[in-house]
Amino acid sequence: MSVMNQPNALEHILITTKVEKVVNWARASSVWPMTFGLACCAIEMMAAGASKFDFDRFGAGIFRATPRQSDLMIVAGTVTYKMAPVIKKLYDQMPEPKWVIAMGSCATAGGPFDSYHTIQGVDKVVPVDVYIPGCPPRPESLIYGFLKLQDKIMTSSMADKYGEIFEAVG
Amino acid sequence: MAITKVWIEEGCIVCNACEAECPDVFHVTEDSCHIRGEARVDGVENENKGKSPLKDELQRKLEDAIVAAAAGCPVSVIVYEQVANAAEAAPAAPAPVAEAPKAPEPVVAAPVVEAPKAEAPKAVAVDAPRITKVWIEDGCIVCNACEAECPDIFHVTADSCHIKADSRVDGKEDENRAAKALLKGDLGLEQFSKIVAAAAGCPVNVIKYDGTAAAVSAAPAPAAEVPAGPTSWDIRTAPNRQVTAPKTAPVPSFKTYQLEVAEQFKADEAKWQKTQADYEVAKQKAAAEGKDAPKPPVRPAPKKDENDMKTPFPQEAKDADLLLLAERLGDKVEEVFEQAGELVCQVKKEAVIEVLRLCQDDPHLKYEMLTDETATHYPVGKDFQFSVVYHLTSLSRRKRLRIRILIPEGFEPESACALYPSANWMEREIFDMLGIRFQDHPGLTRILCPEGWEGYPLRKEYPTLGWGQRDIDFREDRSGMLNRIAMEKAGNLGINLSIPKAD
Repeated sequence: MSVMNQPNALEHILITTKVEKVVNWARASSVWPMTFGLACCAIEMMAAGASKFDFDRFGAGIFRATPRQSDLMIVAGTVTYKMAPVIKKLYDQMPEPKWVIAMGSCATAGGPFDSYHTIQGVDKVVPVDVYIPGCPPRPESLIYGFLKLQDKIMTSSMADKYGEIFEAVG
Repeated sequence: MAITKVWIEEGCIVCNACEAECPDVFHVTEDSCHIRGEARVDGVENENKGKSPLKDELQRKLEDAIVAAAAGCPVSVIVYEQVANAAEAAPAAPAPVAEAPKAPEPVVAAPVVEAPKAEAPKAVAVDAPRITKVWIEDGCIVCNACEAECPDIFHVTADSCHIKADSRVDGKEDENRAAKALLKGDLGLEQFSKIVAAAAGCPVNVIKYDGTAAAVSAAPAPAAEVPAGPTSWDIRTAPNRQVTAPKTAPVPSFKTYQLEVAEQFKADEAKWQKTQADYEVAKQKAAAEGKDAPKPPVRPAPKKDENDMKTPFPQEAKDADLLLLAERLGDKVEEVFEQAGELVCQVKKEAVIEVLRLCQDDPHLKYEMLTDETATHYPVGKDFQFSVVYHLTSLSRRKRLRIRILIPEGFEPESACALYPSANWMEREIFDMLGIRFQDHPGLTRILCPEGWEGYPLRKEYPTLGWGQRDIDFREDRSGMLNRIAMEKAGNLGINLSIPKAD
């Protein structure tokens, strides 16, 4: 019995895992957010990226100025009716896989702007993965929300995401 | 059929339900329910544990009421003895709640059973609203609310609510969804209010019923009362969401202020005259009656307005700039006044450009900068609907001046862009928010709202919700607006934006 519990020579030098898990690990550990501040929440997002809170610890420190190099859109601020088509366009320009964090009460549900010009939540425009409440949320909240997103990426499966397409193709 | 004896078992919760149902027999005291002395043979008022019989003339008359009271007792402590014939005595029903609805069964159940379903309500037609069948739709959350409301009909099991077997003509106990069996006997009449209350109180609205026209039409009334409360969860009906148009046009002006003061003075004077006249009459009356003369009235000193520091009143123009403008422009100036140290010059709406040019060019004025240009909507103004205000600043003389015009709906003031380039965007904003068009503006398009926006949001009648706030979902792009705009723009650039399909 004891012999069976001992790792053999091969297992000392090999790790067995699923490709999917490795891919998820790679994706979750290097999320590139987009520079996309709409209002005051963006200040907190900048603070989260700066040295005191250091978003880079979680592999998400490189804020890209173009959607084509980004994986994550942090919608930080009020989404007006006029801005909504722009958000949609930027989201469409991001390559797969892509995620969206709705940061702050404006982006999650319109916030205090229950008015004619504000969209009541960015989830009416793009699909949202993580909602972060707060007005504005502190950088800790953003980091917690980001860790939740990492959990989501780690537990995600390609079969879930592309299942519909595969089923449609047959 | 008659009830010979009625008594109260232990456990009365003093809920008054029985007294409301049958006040001739039941009397609810502070600690228990009593059977009234005047309804009993022995004439004593207590719980009637000794089972003294009811008076003969009441036995038949109050039968229905007592049965209803016993059925309605939430703790089932009302027990009675019922006989088919008053002459022959039968043992009392041990469990009155279960038995009570059965009691009238032999009398009226027979025609219901015989009659086909459609004719059933008419066969036993009565004027009172009556429910013929009750069933439970899919989606019961097993909350027990209906059984608490009406235990004779509803029985909540582990997975759904059932209509009790002994309340149905087919004698089965289930949701009654498919069969829609009729209710037994007079249950639909007796339990009418309870069934309606149970249906209204159902949190998922799965209790459905059918009955006579009166029952169906009477039903929504109690149902509608339920959600009424101090809190309205429909945000669109919230009072602070309603558009309330203002009733006055509060344009600050020295002339109107003078008018107000004069009117106030006149009213005060009239009041003082009346007080004096009243005093003279009282004095003469006292003299005629030989009494002491009343105390002469004292004119009250004008009240000091605590607010006058917060909202300073308009004052006569003393500033040299305003006097100069008034002198140069003559009748083109409608009014000049000062308020809180701010200079205001209201001019004729056609002459505004001339006034602005004078303010800019005159060596005594030299207002080089247009700091702000804005407008206000006054929907109830007499001969104007908007005021357009130009805030001028003289950097060299460190002074500020406000030029104001009052314009009716549809009037197009001349654009100030030629004189002050900063007016460009501000006039676009005024057009965007209030719909005032400016003549000779280089590009009068919306600046804040998206293109194609309907209405002008800063007008007083513009709703904050509803019309203004669109219920949009871009993922579905229900209105198709985004898609349309995208396709339009792409078409201009010669790009094919339509997404290719896999098949």
